[in-house]
Amino acid sequence: MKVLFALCAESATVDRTTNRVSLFNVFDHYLPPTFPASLPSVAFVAAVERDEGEGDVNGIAEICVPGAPQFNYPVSIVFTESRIARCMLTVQAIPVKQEGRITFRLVLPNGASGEASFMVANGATPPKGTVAAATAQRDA
Amino acid sequence: MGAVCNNNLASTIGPQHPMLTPTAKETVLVANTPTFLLDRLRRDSAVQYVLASMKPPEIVNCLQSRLDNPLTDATKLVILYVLLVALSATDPADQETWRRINALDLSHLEWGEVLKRLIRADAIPTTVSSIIFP
Repeated sequence: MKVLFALCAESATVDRTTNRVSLFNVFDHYLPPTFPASLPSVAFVAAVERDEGEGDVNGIAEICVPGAPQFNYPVSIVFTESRIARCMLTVQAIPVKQEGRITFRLVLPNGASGEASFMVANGATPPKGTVAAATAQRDA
Repeated sequence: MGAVCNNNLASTIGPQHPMLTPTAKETVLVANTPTFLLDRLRRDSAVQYVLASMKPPEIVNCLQSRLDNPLTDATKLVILYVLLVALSATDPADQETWRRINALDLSHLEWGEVLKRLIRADAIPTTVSSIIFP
């Protein structure tokens, strides 16, 4: 069993007719103007592929936020008759106290994992090398 | 369901029937691959009409009853494909309905079995949770 992909976005949805997943505003960074800040919503989406003979499992979604203890949330991976299963976890009102990286990680019982992370920095003084820093330098 | 999937529907179908949209007929006529047929019909208002009118188990019943009768004209073929494609909206976790879909004999339809496999492959279950960060 393995994690095919893991992504974080502002929101996600599954199309009723096609059953395809869509993510809106994928996070690659988050630049609040001040700290502490609150991230209104993060949708963590992961897909898991099973091997022949493997069944449903319970995984753990590990959420690491800078300045806060790691939060673990149990997620059920239900395949029914499919070879692939998805889990979609929406976390609201994430308090962000300081700069760092927010990481969402799906850990399966066999040790396989997949993660998505993005940088959090002060939007008023974005770190060098980021698009926000280049934009600020251009506009200065 | 009765109004939508009436066994006598074949005799009452007119050009304005919501399952026989001009675009659905055109799609069945010009489709040269099963994936094209599936993608186009899924977006067609004929399939949306079926989904708004019937639940998946009822669609299976309707499709089964129509498959049991011989195809006599092309409009019936369009309806069969519309009903089959509508089943792609079946909840992947609804195992009973999927068991019945798997059991359908679609050999009368040129792309019936291929469409069934494509629809089954897309039926990926999704566990959805929403929490507030503690």
